[in-house]
Amino acid sequence: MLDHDVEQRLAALGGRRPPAPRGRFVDELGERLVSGSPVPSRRRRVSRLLSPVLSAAAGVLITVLVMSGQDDGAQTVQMFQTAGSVEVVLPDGSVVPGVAGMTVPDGSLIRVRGAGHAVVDGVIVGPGEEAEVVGGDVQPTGVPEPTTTVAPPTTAAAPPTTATPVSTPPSAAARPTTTAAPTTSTTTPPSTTTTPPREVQPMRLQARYNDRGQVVLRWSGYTGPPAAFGSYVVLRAPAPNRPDRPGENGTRIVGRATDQQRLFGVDSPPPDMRPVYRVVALDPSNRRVIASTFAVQPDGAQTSTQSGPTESQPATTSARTQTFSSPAPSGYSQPPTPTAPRSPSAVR
Amino acid sequence: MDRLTDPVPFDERELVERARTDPRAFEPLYREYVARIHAFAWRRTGSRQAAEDVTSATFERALRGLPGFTWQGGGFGPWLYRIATNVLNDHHRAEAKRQSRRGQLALVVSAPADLPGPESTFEGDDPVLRRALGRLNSRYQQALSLRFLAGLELSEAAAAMGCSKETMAVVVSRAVQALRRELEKEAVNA
Repeated sequence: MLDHDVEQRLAALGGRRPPAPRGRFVDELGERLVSGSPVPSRRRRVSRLLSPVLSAAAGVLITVLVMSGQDDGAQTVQMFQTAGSVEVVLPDGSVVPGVAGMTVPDGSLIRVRGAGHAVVDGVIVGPGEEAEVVGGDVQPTGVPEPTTTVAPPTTAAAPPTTATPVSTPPSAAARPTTTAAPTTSTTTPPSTTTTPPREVQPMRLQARYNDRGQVVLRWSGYTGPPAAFGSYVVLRAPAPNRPDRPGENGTRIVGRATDQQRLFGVDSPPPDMRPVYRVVALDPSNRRVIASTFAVQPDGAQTSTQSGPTESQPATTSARTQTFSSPAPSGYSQPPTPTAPRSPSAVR
Repeated sequence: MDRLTDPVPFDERELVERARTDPRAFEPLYREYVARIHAFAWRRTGSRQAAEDVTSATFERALRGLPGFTWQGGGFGPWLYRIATNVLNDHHRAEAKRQSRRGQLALVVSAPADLPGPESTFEGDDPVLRRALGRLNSRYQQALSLRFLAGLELSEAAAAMGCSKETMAVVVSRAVQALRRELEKEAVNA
């Protein structure tokens, strides 16, 4: 064997491309790093270090804990805020009222009746919507009624409570102590409003690949009052889907920025994916304020941006000019329409 | 139609400076490098789980060490790879200890020793080469990993290791020879 052969083997190993990191791993690590949270100890690694005997003992203990209703090791989400009628269908089929502070176990279904809403683990479940808790994620499954006006959240978070299954369906008495009127009126304006002013400019998004195969995203900023701004979230969906709400059509959150002046991001989509991006500005309560145009990267082209889909409300922005650096890809035939503020949606 | 101008340039240096005091500015740097560090760790360990552990530890250490980072020839990327190689060395040391502990335990507990190999490999993986690489001293491991598995140029790898290009070339050459001897030993034992 020659040194050259060894170098060739090393070069061959270095030239191989292992599978891309799991998106969830990348997102979670990114969030932990940015938030400054310590990386939690990895249970898998701990369990590997345990002897087979200890592993078995630990397994029995965890099983007992889970069976006895403790949620150690189980994935749960936290209900932060509710308004109106919110109910939770627990994995065992029992229905409990959704109240702020409750812990919602994996496998539960969250339902919002009438004009209520719930904020669960940063995801807003809007009026008439449903969301499932799957693998510790809140995945909206319902579609908001486009003509429903939502009462603003006026609920103060109640003291944390634990979900206690009850056998009776939720009644008015069982509702959390909220003051939001559970109305479905389409004309009553909210008493207090977080709707951005109408002069908010449409957000434009541009995507292009860099030489490392990553997608560099740049967007025009949210131009409304800073007090109405909470964060940007970057959504990605595989083409031809359009990212709108996480959990739908393969849409997932690939980035978040809380700095209003932060107007760019970098994403590493799976190599075999043709991604479509959109940036959504959220208010401090994680409600959607405005969504950007879509940005796609058609094969071989430099950049292509296209407006978002026609929203449920007419465009309220003053500037209607959109940016198109290249022809719109096939499958997107709608005319460019600025996106408009809309009712709260399940975006986190 | 008006063209969307680039509102903020993607400037790594500027981001590094901002990230020293604002962890949020670290995110684009993280996104820029996470796939590469993960791939590097996977090539080196042959395991997705270990690659994730190494990637997490690398970026954690990088974020913690950023205030002390000095912008030298190689820049941010090679510095990150250097951290990754240190993390990998720690990982291999811990792994060796674990294997040793397991071996001793197996004598006491009459249970089958289910020594776990790599969880999953990828097409073109070379576990024999990886194992032999893991038996080299840490400096040689670092040199070969940076040069071949991370794909850094000689100057970048030298900057990452804090030595001159000429020294780096010598270290790589000796490391290759050492690796060849390890591979030959393994072939004889097999």
